[in-house]
Amino acid sequence: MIALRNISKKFSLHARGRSILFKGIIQAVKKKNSQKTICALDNVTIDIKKGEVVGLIGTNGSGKSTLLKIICRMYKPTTGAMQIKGDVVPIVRLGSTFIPDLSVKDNIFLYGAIVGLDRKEVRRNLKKIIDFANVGDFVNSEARTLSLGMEERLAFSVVMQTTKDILLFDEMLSAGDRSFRNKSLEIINKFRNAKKTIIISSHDMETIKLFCDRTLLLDKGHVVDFGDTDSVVEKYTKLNNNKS
Amino acid sequence: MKIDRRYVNIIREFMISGFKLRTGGAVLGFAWTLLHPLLMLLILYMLFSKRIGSGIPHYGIFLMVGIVHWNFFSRATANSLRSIITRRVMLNNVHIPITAVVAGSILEVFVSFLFELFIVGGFILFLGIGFSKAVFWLPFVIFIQLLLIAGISLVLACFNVYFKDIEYVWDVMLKIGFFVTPIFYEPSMFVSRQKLSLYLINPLTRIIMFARDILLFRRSPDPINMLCLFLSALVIFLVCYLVFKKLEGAIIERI
Repeated sequence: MIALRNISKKFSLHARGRSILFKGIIQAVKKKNSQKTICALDNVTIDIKKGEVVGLIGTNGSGKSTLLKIICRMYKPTTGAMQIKGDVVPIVRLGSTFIPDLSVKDNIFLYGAIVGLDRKEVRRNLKKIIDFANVGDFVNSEARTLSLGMEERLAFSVVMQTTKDILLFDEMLSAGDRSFRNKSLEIINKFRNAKKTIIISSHDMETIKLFCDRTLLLDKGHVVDFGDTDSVVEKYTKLNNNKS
Repeated sequence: MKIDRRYVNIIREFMISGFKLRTGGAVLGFAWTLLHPLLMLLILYMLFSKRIGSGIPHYGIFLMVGIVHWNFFSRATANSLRSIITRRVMLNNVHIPITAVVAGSILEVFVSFLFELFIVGGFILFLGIGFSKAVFWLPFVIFIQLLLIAGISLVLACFNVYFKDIEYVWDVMLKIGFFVTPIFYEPSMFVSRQKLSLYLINPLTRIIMFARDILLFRRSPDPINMLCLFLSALVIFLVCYLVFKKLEGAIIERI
């Protein structure tokens, strides 16, 4: 169960990126630019029930990733309260965490540790992970040899082994092919039957319609609508058409 | 105290992956990592054995102990300094404790340090110096050095997220540190008795001196001096940790 109450997140504009030491010290002393902020999320209040698959849609910069990162506890909300019952898989985006110079096998162990599996568990499930992701020929090659789709498949395949209750997917299956999408659908249905809560953020409305029970539409950090997937997706399409 | 299994696993995997990346996961790659301290030893021995080292028994071992401990400090801090920035893509998509990233980077160098220390031990036996009971003090010295490295590394890794030139600043400081730490000389050769207490403020100086006492001169360090060293390393660690805690919250938003 996830309950968010009046969650807002502001970022200080000058607090992004790296500065030169001397310049940074002067800025800190003068407190220059400290007023410039952007509001990534504004007063978001939602409840997600246990076992629900929820879609997260909106244009770029609408606050989807920020919301997932807050749920994942990577960001602290500026204001508001959050209550989460259950363990969250600490991954927001699949695949992009692989170390390119490290072998695929070593990356699986590292990724396994990140999602909360120990070496024994990863070793026990190694064949299953490799087979599901269909990367058998690459196991001892460097991860840089994997395509984007393969990386995503492999990451999903590791995440599948977790016993955690809440899963977050930012731009899920954006690079996957049709057969992998079908396999993933089966897995997500298994997760659903196991009463796991899933939040999927995507620009692909087909993915959202395929997987999600309810959908949250965000625009410039505000909640536009949260409800039945088909009607929210329709609203999003209309919103997009009006903008263009 | 409950140990977070995920936290320990992440540190271990970072340590293993970092070590494999550095050595290429091969014996030859590991041999290359040993070549650096060996070359350093050779050059310093050729330069200083006649003048500075003439009055020091087993000057080669004297140098080795200094180099191995100095390299551990300089490589671990430099490695940790880059640890967050080099994993910025990963940290932006995955919730990983920052301390685990830094700890993994330190321990990766720690493994090499232990190997180098075994080689020093081999030379000590080969030259017939042997070990005394004092060797049981060595783990304490190493622990104190780890504590010191952990504190400094946390702050450096954090500062590197805020300031892009901290890497150059630290590089210069390490170069200065190499000369103000007694790696290839005895402090009594260059530092007057009056200034010795000031010189000993650098905890790394004491760490290297204690390691030499234990390994080369086969004598136990003075427990009071050891306690003072531990307390100074602990204070440095705690101050650094507090600074890190103050900055930690904004790291992920910055990278």
